[in-house]
Amino acid sequence: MNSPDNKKRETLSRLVDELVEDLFATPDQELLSEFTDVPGGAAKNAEEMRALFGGSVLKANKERLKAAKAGAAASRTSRSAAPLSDLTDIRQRFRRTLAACPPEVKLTLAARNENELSDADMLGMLQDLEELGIFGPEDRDGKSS
Amino acid sequence: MKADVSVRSRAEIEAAIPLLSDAEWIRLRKASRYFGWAYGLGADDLLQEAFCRLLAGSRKCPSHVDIVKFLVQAMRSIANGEVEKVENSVDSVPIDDPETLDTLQDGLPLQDDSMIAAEGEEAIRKSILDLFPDDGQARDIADGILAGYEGQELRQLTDLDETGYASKRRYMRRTIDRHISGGKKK
Repeated sequence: MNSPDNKKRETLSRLVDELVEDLFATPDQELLSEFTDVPGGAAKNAEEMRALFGGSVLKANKERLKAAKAGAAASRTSRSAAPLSDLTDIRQRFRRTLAACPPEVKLTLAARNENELSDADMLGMLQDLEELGIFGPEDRDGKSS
Repeated sequence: MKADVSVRSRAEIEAAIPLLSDAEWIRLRKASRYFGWAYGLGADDLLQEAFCRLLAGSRKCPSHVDIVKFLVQAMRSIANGEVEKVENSVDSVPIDDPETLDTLQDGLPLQDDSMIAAEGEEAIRKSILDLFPDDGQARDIADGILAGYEGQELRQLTDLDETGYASKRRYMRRTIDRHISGGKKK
């Protein structure tokens, strides 16, 4: 359905499209001459626009960093929210994973002595192994991979 | 995952844009002003948003597409989206205080002296036609564009050949340029 607001937007779109079409149809030299009466001329305009783009690069970098931080925080939250009810099963899987560890993977003796680990130690160890790619989240959740 | 080779990478974009020619920068500057004027958005805000979306990859520029044309289309789409967002907010929230409008949307800031702020299509038409008080052909072309006529139909409307039409349209664009430059916005 076409609301009055939509119709207004469509009307303006048509007008701006014509203006833009002419912008691209205008030869470079003619466009440059349109800027001769602007202080600093086309060169100053280009300089300002490059500065605007530079600002956009910084802004995009900040957004990317923010997104990465949010992703890391969400990942930590997701890990800490994992169910603890199937800890026995997780310990069994942990033992199987350790047994299958390649020799080049270094694990401390304390880690192998599972009975000395508290539940918190165990979860911390699982997270470390996850980060190393040795132990997947699906294993920790007790689901077969 | 295999990279999509048909799309410009962020590194390519960062390298290509600063190398645009003075004329290309003028096209971007003017296009941002047209959209800003029509839709009530800051021209620089609009262009910066287009740059950011391109850099962030939320808008992907195919390698074969001219980057300036792509940025102009991105601005068009962003402007439409911003105005639509505000319209939807206004539809769903009772407005007692007109200032509330400024706080309803969290995107680009809107400006009051825009064409989109005009009350209805007829007000928009009058504002545009008033830019060409003494030029019947320009008024006819403007009227035709606003009514939805295109290319050949517009030429027939004014009895202009292709060259004559292009020349008149350029005159209209420059008139609108002067009008925008004389207003509050850059």
